[in-house]
Amino acid sequence: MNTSKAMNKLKAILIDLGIPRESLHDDTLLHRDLQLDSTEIVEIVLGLKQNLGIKVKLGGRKDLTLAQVCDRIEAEMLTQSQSSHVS
Amino acid sequence: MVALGRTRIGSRSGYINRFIKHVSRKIMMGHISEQLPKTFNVAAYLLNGNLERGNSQKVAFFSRQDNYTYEQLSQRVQQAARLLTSLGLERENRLAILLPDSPESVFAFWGAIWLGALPVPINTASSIEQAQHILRDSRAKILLSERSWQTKLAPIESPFLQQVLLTDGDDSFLSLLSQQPEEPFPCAETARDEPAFWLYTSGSTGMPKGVIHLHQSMVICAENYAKATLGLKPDDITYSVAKIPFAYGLGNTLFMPLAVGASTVLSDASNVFDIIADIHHYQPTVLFGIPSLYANLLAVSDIESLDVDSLRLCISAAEQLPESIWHQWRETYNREIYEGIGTTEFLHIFLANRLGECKPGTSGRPVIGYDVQVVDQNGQPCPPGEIGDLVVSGESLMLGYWNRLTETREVLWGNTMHTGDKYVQDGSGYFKFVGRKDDLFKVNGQWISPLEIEDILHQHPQILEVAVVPESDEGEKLTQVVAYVSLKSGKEPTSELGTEIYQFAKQRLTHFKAPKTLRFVEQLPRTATGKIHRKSVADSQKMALNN
Repeated sequence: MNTSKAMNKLKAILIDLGIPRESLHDDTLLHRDLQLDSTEIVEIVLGLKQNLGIKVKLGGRKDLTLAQVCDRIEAEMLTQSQSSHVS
Repeated sequence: MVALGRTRIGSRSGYINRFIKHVSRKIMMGHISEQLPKTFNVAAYLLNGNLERGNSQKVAFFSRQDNYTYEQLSQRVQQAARLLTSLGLERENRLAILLPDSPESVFAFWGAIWLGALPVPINTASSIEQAQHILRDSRAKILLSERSWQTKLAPIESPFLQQVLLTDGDDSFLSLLSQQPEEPFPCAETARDEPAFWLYTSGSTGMPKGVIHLHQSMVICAENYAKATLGLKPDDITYSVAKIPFAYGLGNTLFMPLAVGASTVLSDASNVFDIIADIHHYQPTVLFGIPSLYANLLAVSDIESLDVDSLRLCISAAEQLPESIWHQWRETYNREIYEGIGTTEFLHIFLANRLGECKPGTSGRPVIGYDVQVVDQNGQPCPPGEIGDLVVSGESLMLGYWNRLTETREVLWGNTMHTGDKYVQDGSGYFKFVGRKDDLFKVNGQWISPLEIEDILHQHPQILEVAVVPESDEGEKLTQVVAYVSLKSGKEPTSELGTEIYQFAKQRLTHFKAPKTLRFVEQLPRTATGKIHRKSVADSQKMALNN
């Protein structure tokens, strides 16, 4: 199980949205399993920006697992960290 | 591909062509329906009309799968009519279409009307129970859907359903269409005031009811709203967030662009980032949104900014647009949002803010062709500033609800509908929504019945009483579902219990119906007859806080 900072933060945001902790696994899908609507996706994105300072775009027609969302979060964190080092 | 010119459209539908120019010239204000020929098939009228106007090679719609010209659309529609006929679909039979907005859903919708049958679009966000109900209630003979839905619905509990067609897998709907001859298929000689299609809308019990619309209805809405109010024109490209099974989406995507020879985008996007990508890709000129779309686009504007250069019109309907969002949108994107309101029963918008005359926070003024009034309990017009019931008259009014005589008679008075909305009109003639006569309200542009949510919450073992109400900070914010809950004797209101109840609701209700906020109260206010008085719940809590 992914216990990274990104996954923990993502789970905390989803629990705040009213989703039971026991429903959240690496392979849980945002739409099929959690039935998140467009406004809840926006709330996740805003929560990540507020908590981790990153701008993640959760677009794409393909349903995403929590692990795949984490990959996007971590990639964005890496990009941001590299750009801050460059500047 | 065979060109479908004027001379090749078949003699039985030739009468349509003769009337197209005649009707187009004659349709003015007032009684549009009387200016249509008595024998009138709206699919043939709109499709042949575009071929007549020289739009054969113009794109009718863009989609991720393919783009289709008006000529290709016309041919596919006739192939769909031929295929459905060969499968036993006859005039007045129902065809259920449970699909996202897609080329297949468009071909099937118009194909059914072409042959005189009745398409019944079903929202893909419906629950399985709702979809089963619609299939049974409509007595659909054929269902067009996807394999994933077929699996979810199995076994389909309708004795009337004879066949399921799928858009994926072997023998897909498109492959079956392409096997049909390309020769013109004669349209059914339907009447202008004959049922053409049904739309399902939520009822107060939560189970959707079928709204029956006529062949003439779409022409009336296109003339009154698309042409006379919006000035929709042939070089427009429309993009609608509301999907085809909703009356608002049906007009935005299916018949209004067709009525003026414009183009539209068929998209299954619901995620705000996908909608932004669609707008950047297709460059629509008219955005038909709902309040939550504008709120979400603003919320992510510093993460993914929308390029609005292509948009000449931003429209909002389906529920009240908070004034704060209107102002934020204009400050951020330098565009006004033209808010309007309509009902499924009238098929589209009857109150609208017009270009250059926008009054944020209001639903605007009556669309041409509609008589809209705020009346008191005796049916007399209210003076400006006084709250009353909104009653609307217009030619696009439904025939009635299918198999719901009592509900039909409750809302229809001749050509007039009692909408159940409470409105106030200002001195300039603008109408402002102030609430509902019943307990229904809208979230994400969709009706919510408090009863359905309360029934679920009552199943929680620690809840004694519950009242579900909408809250929007007096229209300043988007409407949210709030549950006021009292607990059984000896149970303490804790944050852990609040979370547990929240999750309990979330797991049992369609996502947008789950309460966003839960408030524990000692007891709930009751009416003289002992019923919980929902309308005074929020007020009594505010008073308690102030004291």
